[in-house]
Amino acid sequence: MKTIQSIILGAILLLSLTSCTKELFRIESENTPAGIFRHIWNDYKINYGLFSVKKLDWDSVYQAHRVQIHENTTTAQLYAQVVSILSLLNDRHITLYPASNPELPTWSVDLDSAGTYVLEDFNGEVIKNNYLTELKESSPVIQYGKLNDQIGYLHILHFNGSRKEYENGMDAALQDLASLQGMILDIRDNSGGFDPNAQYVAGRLAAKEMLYMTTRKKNGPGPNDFAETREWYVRPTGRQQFTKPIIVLTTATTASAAETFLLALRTQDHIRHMGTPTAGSFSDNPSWEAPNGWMYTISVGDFRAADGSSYEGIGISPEILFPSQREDWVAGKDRVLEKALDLFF
Amino acid sequence: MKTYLLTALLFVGQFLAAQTSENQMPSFFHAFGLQLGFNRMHTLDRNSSALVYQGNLPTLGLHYEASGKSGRFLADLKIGRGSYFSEQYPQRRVRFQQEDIYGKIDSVSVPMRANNTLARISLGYLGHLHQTGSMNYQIGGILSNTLYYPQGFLQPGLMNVASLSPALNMDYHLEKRHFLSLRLVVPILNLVSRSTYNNSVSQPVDNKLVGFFDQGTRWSSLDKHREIQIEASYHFRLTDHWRSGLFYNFSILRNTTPRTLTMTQSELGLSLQIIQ
Repeated sequence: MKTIQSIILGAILLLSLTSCTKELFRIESENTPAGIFRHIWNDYKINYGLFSVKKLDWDSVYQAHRVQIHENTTTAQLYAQVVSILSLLNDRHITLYPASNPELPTWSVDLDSAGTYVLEDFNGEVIKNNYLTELKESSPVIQYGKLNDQIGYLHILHFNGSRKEYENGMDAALQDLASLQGMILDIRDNSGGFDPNAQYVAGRLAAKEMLYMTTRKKNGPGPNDFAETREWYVRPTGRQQFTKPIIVLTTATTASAAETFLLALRTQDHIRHMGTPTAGSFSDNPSWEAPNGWMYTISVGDFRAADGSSYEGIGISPEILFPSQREDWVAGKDRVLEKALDLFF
Repeated sequence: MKTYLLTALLFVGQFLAAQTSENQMPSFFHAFGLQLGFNRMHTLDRNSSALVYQGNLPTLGLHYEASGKSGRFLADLKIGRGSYFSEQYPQRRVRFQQEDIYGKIDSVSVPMRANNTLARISLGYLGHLHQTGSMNYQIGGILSNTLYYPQGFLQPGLMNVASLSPALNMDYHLEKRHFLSLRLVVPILNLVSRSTYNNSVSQPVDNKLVGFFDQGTRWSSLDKHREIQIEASYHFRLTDHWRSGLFYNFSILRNTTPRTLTMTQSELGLSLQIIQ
């Protein structure tokens, strides 16, 4: 009997520890419209890395919008106010996911009012069916083929894969394309990923070592709290490199790590840039969450080209500006690819 | 599956109990053990979220113990993996929509529930300190490494902690075949890896793993990392060579760099040991 009593007493004491822990998880922010608005605004205040680039007084933004939020503000009205202040940042790397309110659409400056991204200047099937003599997938992230007996085609889908996928994919592609006289590099639908992957792939297409980017990221809540500036170099890497003429194609969908990739490529003399300006969203953009369950991404860094220029919110303009029309794509024509091919001869 | 395993473990225990002698545990022995448990964790990681995340992780543990006249050497390995989600909003979903050149819209709705993986390895030594009647006190140290690896849209609670901890152990022999054990472990020297303030792991050349550990690892003194682990267990000696038991582990952790992370864990489970 004494044994059972001891066990029960011990168990009760231990389980009581668990019940005492609720207080540990108390959250300072109120789950009210005004509390949520302030929480989201403050997350940007202390984490956003581009206020100086955007030349925006975030405190004034709060004062101007806060007065429109009161205790009877509906969820839809709160959403509209949050969208309103985030729009001022003109940053395609900011996305608001109202995940706890499925009736509200995902928001970003490049989505339509229903939360849809419209990709009207690229279609891989048109290229595969009408232009390539063959298309190979050397890894889940790399496709390549031949446009004719002299010009190759390399399509980097994104930079979110593993390092091995880029190493193996580039090894196979560059080996097969090595005998050709030039290459069209397609990153028109590449919305980015992990910058070191982009750095690696750029190295497979590089002939010389060049500084192409500097980055600094927030490391504290103050406006000038940044970690040390890091320098990014492109240099020939891997088993072999392709250093014959390359034309790289971009659109406004070309974003993030695909843009830092482009910064690296543009330091190389054998590479030309054609298409339309890129998205202008370079910084890393991790996600944060508010007490009401909404998730949002925040650009935490100040990424610059080697000459110190920031292209955030602007994008990189091509040397050869050549937009495409949706009706051409629907008719099975990739006019940009055709023009690029013409430039080789 | 879990139910079957636990039932089987209890059944084996009942069967073996019938063959038990009344001898005391030997002074020198090696014990190999298997543990099946369920870990419920709660995490609030203010570096990325204002939401409390709950993890429900089935766990599997392996245990080795070498006991001698002056003390006990302990080695433990534990892994767990299970669901991980916001306690307040467990059913959240994120929607992605894209329209192609033909006007066709692809819509994908993805649940925000994630997975969390726990991996822990520890080595320790407990020396005999004092014995009074049925109570036996031991004191020593434990070297451990614990990885918490959530995988989802966010990674609140992503952390690796390597610790050196003093430990106090109390064994209480209720009868010849029953004994209780209570252990208090308080890490005092910690090498903690967490996401940086900006939650970004990228840096030139390196992959994500290197970027995470290179940028987010720091020695943490007690003002920045506090943790208490309490481990309670009840052992029932089935035979001269087998013993089974129940265990309950509770831990609370608070790390303040770069922003405060609070985590509690409660784990309940069954154990089975073979003694040589």
